[in-house]
Amino acid sequence: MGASKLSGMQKQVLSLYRGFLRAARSKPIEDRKRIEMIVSTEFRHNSKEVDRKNFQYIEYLLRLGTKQLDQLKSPDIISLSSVKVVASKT
Amino acid sequence: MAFGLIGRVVGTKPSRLSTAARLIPARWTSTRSEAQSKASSGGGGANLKTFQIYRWNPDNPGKPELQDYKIDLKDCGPMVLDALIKIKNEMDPSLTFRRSCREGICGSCAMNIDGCNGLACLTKIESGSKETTITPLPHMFVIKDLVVDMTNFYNQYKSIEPWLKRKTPASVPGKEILQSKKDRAKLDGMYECILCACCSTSCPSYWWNPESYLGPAALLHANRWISDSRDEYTKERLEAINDEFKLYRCHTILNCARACPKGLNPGKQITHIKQLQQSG
Repeated sequence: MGASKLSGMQKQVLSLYRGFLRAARSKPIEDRKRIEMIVSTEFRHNSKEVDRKNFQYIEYLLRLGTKQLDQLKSPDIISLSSVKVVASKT
Repeated sequence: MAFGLIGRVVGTKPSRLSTAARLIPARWTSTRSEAQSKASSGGGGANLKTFQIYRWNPDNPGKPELQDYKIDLKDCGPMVLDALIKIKNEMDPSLTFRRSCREGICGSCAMNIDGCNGLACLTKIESGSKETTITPLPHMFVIKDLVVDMTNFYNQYKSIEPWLKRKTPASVPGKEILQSKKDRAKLDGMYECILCACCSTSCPSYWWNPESYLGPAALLHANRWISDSRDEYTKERLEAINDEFKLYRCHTILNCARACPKGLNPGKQITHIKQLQQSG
């Protein structure tokens, strides 16, 4: 391992990721795979693209993620889906 | 002929603002070209004012910046909200801000204008060539440009249970619970609150403890339900907020009374709660 100590913000991101995976476990098996796929691609994409020092944006994403997680935890919600929108300059 | 009649009626209005009076007949005309020619004939030299507006886009996240916009005040309504709408319509459609009623009753357009919290639709644009700085409500998380995250504020309002609670049923079931005029007068100065959050976001104590201190707005509403003669859970309400952090973070700084766009005094209501706690 030998990883250096994780900062508070990194711990928050990891605990949010854990929260999503735990919430996914309570859903039916097919939706569970889709949720895990969407969440893991989103987190991996952001970890590469977002600058480590850009605290404002990371905190914004954390707050957004926490709200989405609270929605997902509700038993009425069964699945997540993701749509890619490309802004066109027409 | 109809236009002539309308022009004459408008002309009898008190001419406090001469430029506005010249523009009113222009707006009554239905043809845009006529209106434009009348508006531009109001003066060759435009009265430009610079607005510095806080911009931050979560889609292209970088550092937040103050962007400059120049507005001709002759062509614009008197309030800051008119300037913002004009910028959004004509110069930069990506400027994001909340607004709804444009008359100071919904509380959506609360923002920090030249250092003071207020409603954009009720704050007049200061005449003169000084720059006006518009930033979002202080110490609130920013979602985009001037839009802030109000969920904590609303949750605190929800936590004081802002509804009538009774132990005994109404004396005449199915009918209103009666209240004397004197008892109703006790609610004046509290029921008018529109939950714009100007007061809470101007309180330094709320800046340092936003999660634990309820803030002037929620406490004003707590007092509104405590003072309501029809409510029978007064003791429980007082006990619920009798907390070192929820109530006693207030140090009577009284920035809230200064910031309130409706002229209310949350600090006074908080003092009332503290007095009740002492005596009860």
